[in-house]
Amino acid sequence: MAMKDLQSLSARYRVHAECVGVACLALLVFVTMGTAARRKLGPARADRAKAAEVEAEIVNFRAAFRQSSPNGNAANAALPDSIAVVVPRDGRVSLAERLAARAERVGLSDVRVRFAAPDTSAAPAKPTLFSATVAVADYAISVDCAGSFAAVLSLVNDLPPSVALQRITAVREKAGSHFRLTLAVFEAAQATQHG
Amino acid sequence: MSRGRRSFGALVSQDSVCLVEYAAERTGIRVLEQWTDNTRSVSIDDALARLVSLLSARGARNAVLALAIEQFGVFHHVMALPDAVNDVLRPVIRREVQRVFGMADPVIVFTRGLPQERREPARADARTAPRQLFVGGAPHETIEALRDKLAEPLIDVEIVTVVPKAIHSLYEASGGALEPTAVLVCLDGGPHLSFFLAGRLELAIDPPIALDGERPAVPMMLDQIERGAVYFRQQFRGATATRFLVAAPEGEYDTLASALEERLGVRVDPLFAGTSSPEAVVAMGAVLEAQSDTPLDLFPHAPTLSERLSVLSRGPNLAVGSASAAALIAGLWALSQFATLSSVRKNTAALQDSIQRDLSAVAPMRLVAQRRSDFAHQVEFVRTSEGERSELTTTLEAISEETPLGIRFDSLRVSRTPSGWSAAINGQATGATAAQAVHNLDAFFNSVRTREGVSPPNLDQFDYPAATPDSTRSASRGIVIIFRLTFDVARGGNSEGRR
Repeated sequence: MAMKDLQSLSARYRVHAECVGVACLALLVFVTMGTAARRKLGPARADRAKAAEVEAEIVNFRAAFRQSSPNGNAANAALPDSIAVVVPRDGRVSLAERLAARAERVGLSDVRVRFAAPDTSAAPAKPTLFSATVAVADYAISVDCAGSFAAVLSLVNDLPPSVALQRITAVREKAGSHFRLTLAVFEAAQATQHG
Repeated sequence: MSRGRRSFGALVSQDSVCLVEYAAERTGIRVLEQWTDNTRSVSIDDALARLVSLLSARGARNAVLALAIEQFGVFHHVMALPDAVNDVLRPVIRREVQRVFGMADPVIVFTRGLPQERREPARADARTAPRQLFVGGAPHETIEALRDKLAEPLIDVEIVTVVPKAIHSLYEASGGALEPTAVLVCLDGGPHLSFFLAGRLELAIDPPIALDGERPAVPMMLDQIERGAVYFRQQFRGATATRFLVAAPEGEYDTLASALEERLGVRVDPLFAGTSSPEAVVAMGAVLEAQSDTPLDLFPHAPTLSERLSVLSRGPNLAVGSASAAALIAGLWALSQFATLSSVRKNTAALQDSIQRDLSAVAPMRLVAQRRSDFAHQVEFVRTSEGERSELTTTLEAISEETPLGIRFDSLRVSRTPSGWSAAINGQATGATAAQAVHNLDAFFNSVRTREGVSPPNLDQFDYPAATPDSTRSASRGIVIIFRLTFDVARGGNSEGRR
């Protein structure tokens, strides 16, 4: 059908042509709007599913949660130092003091505790806590001492959990054996810690 | 006709409005009552208002009405054309009506009658054989007045027809004899004369224009009838009506019948006996016309659903209808998408509100749970650390204890690796002889190699020290071998190590 015929038909059926035009325009608008709405439906449904999952988790958590006794809460709130796995930066001198004391207690002599650059060996595994992000401190503690190998091993076994052994060096010298322990320190990046 | 609804027939003219109530029975139609308003109407609106008043006065609610109408510009025509579809016939009929009645743009309706006899019956294609067409029409103003005034919700208009077509239905109801018959209906506005030949309505003659309020006398009517009979005879090859069916007022019927019998020598019978006035007869003719298969109906009925669909499915309307339907479907679809989206978003918002509320409610519980979890993790971590250290110290202690007497460590280096520990021992193996020194080193090597959790060691250095100025002292000790042994200690019992 030539354009001329179409024009002729349009002129002849002007009202019909206008109605068809309006209907086509409406069709286009509706299809565009409907498609746009349909595109948004996917992410919206995903959001709803995610929210439903979270809601279900909360419900499950509430169902599974058991209140502890007042004594239990108090016990959790005041953890002993023996299981404190992080040391605040302000407490590093105190930690050094404790390490020196433990070394001397196991029979080591000429104990020297120093703060040093972090060791280059593999990083130790860090504890995972909700209340704080635990990181390996940007310093290390080295303990130099003299004495028996057995005493050094005793010290290793007696190290606090807030430090991790990175390296042991033992050198026989004329005056006796000299030992150096290099320790990584776990530090809380934020929040309060026990110990 | 619905059961329980009152049914009426009516004739509306300038001179009077006649209303007849009837009941449809198994044997036919029974006239119940009739009312006439003889007040002259100045317009169609006036006449229709009277009709509505008559209906209202009768308490006619939900009534069915069949109406015949004369005057007010209403016209009728009988013609014969080769049969064709309505779209083809309509313009032909319109031009003929414009020619005959001189009306510019009237409303025209038509219906088909019996087929005409062909001069050559052997001609093919019976569909194009001439067919009698009854045409009725009226000015637009009259039709609009009918539509507006009878648009009462309690009046169901079955038909609005012209008087000759009502008379035609009356004739057919009377038996439709093939004998040439004239039907005379003496209305207030003048006599309507129709001639039937072989059962077909061939000629319908309107009354002459009368003076207002002046009823034509019997002699005047006889003259008109005679002129009509002559015209009928001339037009239809000498046909002569031998029978007259007459509807006239009671006081006029006998006189008229006697005069017709005497003057034209015809047989006269009453038309639709049982009604008291010719107006009521015509009203009942309208009722009969409404019941015929092909009624001539001037009333602008609202189109039925099937008619609307039929109109929409033809020609350019098809394109409009299709486009509109597509737009409608698309609109509904878009609406459903928006409704779904809105519903999903509402649900999500409600869930998120609920989560916020729940989170506030469980915050203390969450704190407790986190504290418990941290405690458990800390305990576990401490246990793991202690285990790791214990493993290392036990291994080193065992290696130290199992070292043969001829082995001496000069240095020991242990450092953390991703999978455990890496150890390096520098030392000396001594013996009285070279074999004994090597034997001591081999014993030490084997003790390390067989140690659980320790990877097979590497002997990185195996050498004899160069002679020094105090080699005499070394010689007194025997043979010395300098060695360097490296091995890995796995963490957590893992014996995989460097090989």
